[in-house]
Amino acid sequence: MPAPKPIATPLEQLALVPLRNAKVRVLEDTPGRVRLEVDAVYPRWLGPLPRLLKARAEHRYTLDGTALLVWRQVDDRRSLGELCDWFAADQQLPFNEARLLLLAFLRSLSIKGLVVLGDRTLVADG
Amino acid sequence: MSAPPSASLLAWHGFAFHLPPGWEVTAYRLNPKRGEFRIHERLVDRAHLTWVQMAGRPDIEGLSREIVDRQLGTPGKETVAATVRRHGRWTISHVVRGQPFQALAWIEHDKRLLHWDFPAWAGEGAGQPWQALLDSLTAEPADELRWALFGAEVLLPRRFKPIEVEAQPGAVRIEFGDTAGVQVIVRRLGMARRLLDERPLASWVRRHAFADRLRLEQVQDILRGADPAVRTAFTVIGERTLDRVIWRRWPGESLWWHETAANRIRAIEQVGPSGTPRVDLNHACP
Repeated sequence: MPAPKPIATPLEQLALVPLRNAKVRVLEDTPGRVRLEVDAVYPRWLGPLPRLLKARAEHRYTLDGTALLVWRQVDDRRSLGELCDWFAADQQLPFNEARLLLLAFLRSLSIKGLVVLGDRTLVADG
Repeated sequence: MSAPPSASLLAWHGFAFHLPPGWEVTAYRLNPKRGEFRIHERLVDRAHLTWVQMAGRPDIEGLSREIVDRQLGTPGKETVAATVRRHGRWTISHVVRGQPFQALAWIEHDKRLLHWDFPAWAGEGAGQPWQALLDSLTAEPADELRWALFGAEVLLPRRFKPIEVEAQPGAVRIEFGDTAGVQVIVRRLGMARRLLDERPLASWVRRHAFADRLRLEQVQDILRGADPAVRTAFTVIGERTLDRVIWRRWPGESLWWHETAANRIRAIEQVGPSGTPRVDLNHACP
């Protein structure tokens, strides 16, 4: 059986742009930390269950340290490659080590619903 | 000329190279008899180093031609007229610009063949990164071997052999051991300033000791050159079966320091049965 084709090659990955979730609300923004709130999203098949069980309607997160540093650099314009270059220079790390660390931070922000990796060429192509 | 940063040093099994700026090891197989390193610059494949231990010196030039034939030969034309030339202790074989080329060297005292495979021949000259890389080879017989990989570096007596390499982004750990049961572990942590903003170095050392079930006997804040450092003495339950049964503890010591200029934390740790010969930690990490 042929191996499944990867969703994006590492080179294609670097062209992606991390985008902030526009629905994220900033509750507190200080130099040392930022508190964010984002609407909770439940699977559709749960139907009215979350509301009936009074599940939380929003999640709150506090970012500090490197997560805050990365969050501040995500400006909906810089590509992942540019962010990797910045992170490698800022932390004095080799490029690929910086890339893997940055992807791990972005993945954790993405799981929380704060960031998504987008491809602007799809928008440009219509 | 200033010395290259130690992150660019690649030293393993007695041979050492200085990688050109931006080149980094991205994959490895560390078998002492037959191993390899893959080197990338960003995401571009730059080189592939293979080493093989052999019973005796092979016919380097013949081998070099054979590799090129196997790599570039086609079903109708099995042999390729490769140009073979000497460059210092290296035998280089190439065909035309843009095609892969090889460099082979034989390390006599170690009975080891080193083979670099580069993806594209772009001519000779001082500006070619492959040339500086090959020229940087050091492989002399010595009582002590230098080991350097992913920015973790140590100088150890020849009796120590690598046991395990854990290379995570931002955290590298390499473990060496000798036949007497002494283990030496070197670490390199990235993003040191971020880590030390969170808590001081001594606190990180204590957390690490707790995670590794070490019983700290002494913790001392010192200076290593101009860099802040922490020296510890500890004990840990021995690794041998009898030690585990009777809870016999092995003495150990560690040295952690913050390389301020390189924004990284480095550490060396050694532990082993009482009475076994130890290494001088300060000497092992120059």
